[in-house]
Amino acid sequence: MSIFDPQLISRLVAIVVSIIVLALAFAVIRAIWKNDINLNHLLSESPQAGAPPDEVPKASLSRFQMLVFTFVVAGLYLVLSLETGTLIDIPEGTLALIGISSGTYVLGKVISGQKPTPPAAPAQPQPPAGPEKPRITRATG
Amino acid sequence: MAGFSFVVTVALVAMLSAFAFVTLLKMLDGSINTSGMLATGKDQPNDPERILMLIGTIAGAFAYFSYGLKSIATGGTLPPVPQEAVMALGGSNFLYIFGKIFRPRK
Repeated sequence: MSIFDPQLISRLVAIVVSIIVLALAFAVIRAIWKNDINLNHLLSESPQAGAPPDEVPKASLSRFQMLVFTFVVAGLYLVLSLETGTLIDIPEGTLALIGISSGTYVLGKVISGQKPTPPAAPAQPQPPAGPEKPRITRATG
Repeated sequence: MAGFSFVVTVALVAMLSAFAFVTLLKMLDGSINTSGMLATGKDQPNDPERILMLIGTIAGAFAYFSYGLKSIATGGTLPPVPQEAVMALGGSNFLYIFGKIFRPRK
Protein backbone atom coordinates (compact mmCIF):
# COMPACT_ATOMS: atom_id res chain seq x y z
CA MET A 1 0.00 0.00 0.00
CA SER A 2 1.60 3.28 -1.14
CA ILE A 3 1.39 6.42 0.97
CA PHE A 4 -0.49 8.14 -1.89
CA ASP A 5 -3.18 5.49 -1.95
CA PRO A 6 -6.51 7.42 -2.13
CA GLN A 7 -8.21 4.99 0.21
CA LEU A 8 -5.52 5.42 2.84
CA ILE A 9 -5.71 9.22 2.54
CA SER A 10 -9.51 9.23 2.82
CA ARG A 11 -9.32 7.03 5.92
CA LEU A 12 -6.75 9.30 7.52
CA VAL A 13 -8.83 12.37 6.74
CA ALA A 14 -11.93 10.67 8.16
CA ILE A 15 -10.08 9.81 11.36
CA VAL A 16 -8.62 13.30 11.77
CA VAL A 17 -11.94 15.07 11.06
CA SER A 18 -13.79 12.75 13.44
CA ILE A 19 -11.27 13.42 16.20
CA ILE A 20 -11.51 17.20 15.65
CA VAL A 21 -15.33 17.19 15.70
CA LEU A 22 -15.46 15.01 18.80
CA ALA A 23 -12.82 17.14 20.54
CA LEU A 24 -14.79 20.31 19.74
CA ALA A 25 -18.01 18.77 21.07
CA PHE A 26 -16.20 17.58 24.20
CA ALA A 27 -14.67 21.02 24.77
CA VAL A 28 -18.07 22.71 24.47
CA ILE A 29 -19.74 20.27 26.87
CA ARG A 30 -16.85 20.61 29.35
CA ALA A 31 -17.07 24.41 29.19
CA ILE A 32 -20.83 24.27 29.79
CA TRP A 33 -20.35 21.91 32.71
CA LYS A 34 -17.71 24.18 34.29
CA ASN A 35 -19.84 27.30 33.62
CA ASP A 36 -17.25 28.81 31.27
CA ILE A 37 -20.13 28.88 28.78
CA ASN A 38 -22.97 30.42 30.72
CA LEU A 39 -26.38 28.94 29.90
CA ASN A 40 -28.24 30.71 32.72
CA HIS A 41 -30.25 32.84 30.29
CA LEU A 42 -30.68 30.19 27.59
CA LEU A 43 -34.45 30.32 28.05
CA SER A 44 -34.78 33.94 29.19
CA GLU A 45 -36.46 36.64 27.13
CA SER A 46 -34.48 39.65 26.02
CA PRO A 47 -34.48 42.33 28.72
CA GLN A 48 -37.05 45.09 28.24
CA ALA A 49 -35.87 48.52 27.20
CA GLY A 50 -35.35 50.66 30.26
CA ALA A 51 -35.28 47.70 32.64
CA PRO A 52 -32.73 47.86 35.45
CA PRO A 53 -29.55 45.94 34.57
CA ASP A 54 -29.73 43.63 37.58
CA GLU A 55 -33.32 42.52 36.80
CA VAL A 56 -33.55 38.85 35.77
CA PRO A 57 -35.77 38.55 32.67
CA LYS A 58 -38.54 35.94 32.70
CA ALA A 59 -38.22 32.67 30.84
CA SER A 60 -39.70 32.30 27.36
CA LEU A 61 -41.94 29.36 26.45
CA SER A 62 -41.18 29.68 22.74
CA ARG A 63 -37.45 29.32 23.42
CA PHE A 64 -38.18 26.24 25.49
CA GLN A 65 -40.27 24.76 22.66
CA MET A 66 -37.53 25.44 20.14
CA LEU A 67 -34.95 23.80 22.42
CA VAL A 68 -37.07 20.66 22.87
CA PHE A 69 -37.85 20.30 19.15
CA THR A 70 -34.23 20.91 18.21
CA PHE A 71 -33.02 18.17 20.51
CA VAL A 72 -35.70 15.72 19.38
CA VAL A 73 -35.31 16.26 15.63
CA ALA A 74 -31.51 16.55 15.74
CA GLY A 75 -31.21 13.44 17.88
CA LEU A 76 -33.47 11.38 15.64
CA TYR A 77 -31.79 12.67 12.49
CA LEU A 78 -28.34 11.79 13.84
CA VAL A 79 -29.36 8.32 14.96
CA LEU A 80 -31.21 7.48 11.73
CA SER A 81 -28.48 8.89 9.48
CA LEU A 82 -25.81 6.92 11.27
CA GLU A 83 -27.99 3.81 11.16
CA THR A 84 -28.66 3.98 7.41
CA GLY A 85 -25.25 5.34 6.47
CA THR A 86 -26.66 8.21 4.37
CA LEU A 87 -28.13 11.65 5.01
CA ILE A 88 -31.85 10.95 5.23
CA ASP A 89 -34.70 13.11 3.90
CA ILE A 90 -36.67 15.31 6.29
CA PRO A 91 -40.46 15.02 5.79
CA GLU A 92 -42.49 18.17 5.14
CA GLY A 93 -44.42 17.76 8.38
CA THR A 94 -41.23 17.81 10.41
CA LEU A 95 -40.05 20.93 8.60
CA ALA A 96 -43.45 22.53 9.30
CA LEU A 97 -43.06 21.64 12.98
CA ILE A 98 -39.64 23.28 13.20
CA GLY A 99 -40.88 26.24 11.13
CA ILE A 100 -43.87 26.85 13.41
CA SER A 101 -41.66 26.69 16.47
CA SER A 102 -39.01 29.03 15.05
CA GLY A 103 -41.65 31.41 13.64
CA THR A 104 -43.31 31.66 17.04
CA TYR A 105 -39.96 32.44 18.63
CA VAL A 106 -39.22 35.21 16.11
CA LEU A 107 -42.74 36.68 16.41
CA GLY A 108 -42.53 36.57 20.20
CA LYS A 109 -39.20 38.36 20.08
CA VAL A 110 -40.62 41.06 17.80
CA ILE A 111 -43.68 41.53 20.04
CA SER A 112 -41.58 41.65 23.21
CA GLY A 113 -39.37 44.27 21.61
CA GLN A 114 -42.33 46.44 20.55
CA LYS A 115 -44.47 46.13 23.66
CA PRO A 116 -43.72 49.10 25.89
CA THR A 117 -43.35 48.54 29.57
CA PRO A 118 -45.85 50.59 31.61
CA PRO A 119 -44.22 53.73 32.95
CA ALA A 120 -43.46 53.80 36.64
CA ALA A 121 -45.80 55.92 38.78
CA PRO A 122 -44.36 59.41 39.22
CA ALA A 123 -42.89 59.94 42.64
CA GLN A 124 -44.74 62.36 44.90
CA PRO A 125 -42.67 65.46 45.63
CA GLN A 126 -41.47 65.28 49.18
CA PRO A 127 -41.30 68.44 51.31
CA PRO A 128 -37.75 69.45 52.05
CA ALA A 129 -36.53 68.09 55.34
CA GLY A 130 -35.63 70.71 57.86
CA PRO A 131 -36.67 72.31 61.14
CA GLU A 132 -40.41 72.63 61.43
CA LYS A 133 -41.65 76.16 61.16
CA PRO A 134 -43.59 77.41 64.18
CA ARG A 135 -47.28 77.59 63.43
CA ILE A 136 -48.61 81.09 63.67
CA THR A 137 -51.98 81.21 65.30
CA ARG A 138 -54.02 84.28 65.06
CA ALA A 139 -55.79 85.27 68.17
CA THR A 140 -59.36 86.09 67.59
CA GLY A 141 -61.74 88.16 69.54
CA MET B 1 -12.74 1.07 9.19
CA ALA B 2 -16.05 -0.44 10.28
CA GLY B 3 -14.82 -0.54 13.88
CA PHE B 4 -13.73 3.10 13.75
CA SER B 5 -17.05 4.12 12.21
CA PHE B 6 -18.88 2.36 15.04
CA VAL B 7 -16.78 4.13 17.67
CA VAL B 8 -17.42 7.55 16.07
CA THR B 9 -21.15 6.81 15.82
CA VAL B 10 -21.36 5.91 19.49
CA ALA B 11 -19.26 8.95 20.44
CA LEU B 12 -21.45 11.36 18.43
CA VAL B 13 -24.64 10.04 19.96
CA ALA B 14 -23.02 10.17 23.40
CA MET B 15 -21.99 13.81 22.83
CA LEU B 16 -25.50 14.89 21.81
CA SER B 17 -26.95 12.99 24.75
CA ALA B 18 -24.41 14.60 27.07
CA PHE B 19 -25.36 18.05 25.78
CA ALA B 20 -29.05 17.33 26.35
CA PHE B 21 -28.28 15.86 29.76
CA VAL B 22 -26.22 18.87 30.91
CA THR B 23 -28.96 21.25 29.72
CA LEU B 24 -31.63 19.23 31.54
CA LEU B 25 -29.52 19.05 34.70
CA LYS B 26 -28.99 22.82 34.68
CA MET B 27 -32.71 23.37 34.21
CA LEU B 28 -33.49 21.07 37.14
CA ASP B 29 -30.99 22.65 39.54
CA GLY B 30 -32.22 26.13 38.65
CA SER B 31 -29.08 27.40 36.89
CA ILE B 32 -31.09 27.93 33.71
CA ASN B 33 -33.82 30.37 34.58
CA THR B 34 -37.31 28.95 33.96
CA SER B 35 -39.31 31.26 36.21
CA GLY B 36 -42.26 33.08 34.69
CA MET B 37 -42.43 30.79 31.66
CA LEU B 38 -46.16 30.26 32.00
CA ALA B 39 -47.13 33.89 32.64
CA THR B 40 -47.19 37.00 30.47
CA GLY B 41 -45.25 39.05 32.97
CA LYS B 42 -43.49 38.56 36.24
CA ASP B 43 -45.71 38.03 39.30
CA GLN B 44 -48.73 37.45 37.08
CA PRO B 45 -50.95 34.32 37.14
CA ASN B 46 -50.31 31.49 34.70
CA ASP B 47 -52.05 31.81 31.33
CA PRO B 48 -54.09 28.87 29.98
CA GLU B 49 -52.75 29.21 26.44
CA ARG B 50 -49.19 28.85 27.72
CA ILE B 51 -50.10 25.75 29.72
CA LEU B 52 -51.73 24.32 26.58
CA MET B 53 -48.62 25.06 24.53
CA LEU B 54 -46.32 23.51 27.15
CA ILE B 55 -48.38 20.31 27.29
CA GLY B 56 -48.56 20.17 23.47
CA THR B 57 -44.81 20.68 23.15
CA ILE B 58 -43.85 17.97 25.62
CA ALA B 59 -46.47 15.47 24.41
CA GLY B 60 -45.68 16.11 20.74
CA ALA B 61 -41.92 15.86 21.23
CA PHE B 62 -42.21 12.67 23.25
CA ALA B 63 -44.59 11.05 20.75
CA TYR B 64 -42.43 12.01 17.76
CA PHE B 65 -39.25 10.75 19.43
CA SER B 66 -40.72 7.39 20.44
CA TYR B 67 -42.31 6.95 16.99
CA GLY B 68 -38.98 7.83 15.36
CA LEU B 69 -37.07 5.31 17.46
CA LYS B 70 -39.52 2.62 16.37
CA SER B 71 -38.91 3.52 12.72
CA ILE B 72 -35.21 2.61 13.04
CA ALA B 73 -36.18 -1.04 12.82
CA THR B 74 -38.62 -0.58 9.93
CA GLY B 75 -37.32 1.90 7.41
CA GLY B 76 -34.74 4.19 8.85
CA THR B 77 -36.37 7.48 7.88
CA LEU B 78 -37.76 10.32 9.95
CA PRO B 79 -41.44 9.59 10.61
CA PRO B 80 -43.97 11.89 8.90
CA VAL B 81 -45.93 14.21 11.17
CA PRO B 82 -49.72 13.95 10.73
CA GLN B 83 -51.37 17.05 9.26
CA GLU B 84 -53.70 17.25 12.27
CA ALA B 85 -50.76 17.36 14.67
CA VAL B 86 -49.17 20.22 12.71
CA MET B 87 -52.47 22.11 12.74
CA ALA B 88 -52.94 21.52 16.47
CA LEU B 89 -49.45 22.77 17.24
CA GLY B 90 -49.90 25.74 14.92
CA GLY B 91 -53.18 26.62 16.65
CA SER B 92 -51.61 26.36 20.08
CA ASN B 93 -48.71 28.59 19.05
CA PHE B 94 -51.16 31.06 17.47
CA LEU B 95 -53.02 31.28 20.79
CA TYR B 96 -49.72 31.87 22.56
CA ILE B 97 -48.84 34.74 20.22
CA PHE B 98 -52.40 36.12 20.49
CA GLY B 99 -52.11 36.13 24.29
CA LYS B 100 -48.69 37.72 24.11
CA ILE B 101 -50.07 40.58 22.02
CA PHE B 102 -53.32 41.27 23.82
CA ARG B 103 -52.68 40.39 27.45
CA PRO B 104 -51.63 43.43 29.42
CA ARG B 105 -48.18 43.10 30.88
CA LYS B 106 -47.72 44.48 34.35
